[in-house]
Amino acid sequence: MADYPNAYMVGRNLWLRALSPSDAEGEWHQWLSDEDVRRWLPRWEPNTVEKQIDFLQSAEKNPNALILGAFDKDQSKHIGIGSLRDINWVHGFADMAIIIGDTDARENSTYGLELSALMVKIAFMNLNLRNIRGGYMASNKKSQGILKALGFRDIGAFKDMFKIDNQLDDHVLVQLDRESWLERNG
Amino acid sequence: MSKQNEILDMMAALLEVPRQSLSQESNPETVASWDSFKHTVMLMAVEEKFDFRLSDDEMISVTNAAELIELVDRKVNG
Repeated sequence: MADYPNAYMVGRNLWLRALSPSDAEGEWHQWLSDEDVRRWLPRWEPNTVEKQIDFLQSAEKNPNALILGAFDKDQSKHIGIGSLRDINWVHGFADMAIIIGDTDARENSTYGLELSALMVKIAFMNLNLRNIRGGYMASNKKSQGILKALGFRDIGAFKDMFKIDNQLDDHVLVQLDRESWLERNG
Repeated sequence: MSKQNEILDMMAALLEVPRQSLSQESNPETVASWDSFKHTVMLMAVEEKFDFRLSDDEMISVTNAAELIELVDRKVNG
């Protein structure tokens, strides 16, 4: 894995590794200020390098979170992050989320699908979890499509939880269990 | 209609591009509307039409139209 130093997992087009404070000085911290990214996140505040480093240091100390940077294999460009958070080691579940922050990667690639698939694989095969929870805003058809393709089932929805472009939007909750995933991927 | 043409017709409709603009070499970099969402929509459409299920690795393995056609052929014909 010399081409992918400190790789946690290598996929077809992406490789994942732990992030360091120097990563925060790249484009990463700008993603969460980007309107196209921020509109699908329940946050409003602009991001900074300092905030990004604080987040990273906090995540490193959290035994119930796995945060990984996603890099494309061609250029090793940092294009997104994947996370498994609120990991419950007793009952074997976690909350999964991804962000494809790089604009070109978001608009002209299938990296969103691959990063999500890699995080699912890590959850079930590396961490031995039994269930993954997730969610998407109802109007976010891209997230909905990716989660559905990977086998996530809609469980329910919080009604009118978000206000996007002045329109109220539901927060749809999804779940994927290990057995269902193994049926397709075992 | 051949399976290849059937799949390319389906892709053109889902990607919202003229059929003539698609070839076996078409991929997310050459078709502006081909992003992760459209990719998954196309994969789920072929799953439903040809009645099979794809693994995550199979979904990610498709990087252009030719690979999607080949994958469908492999899943249908074994």
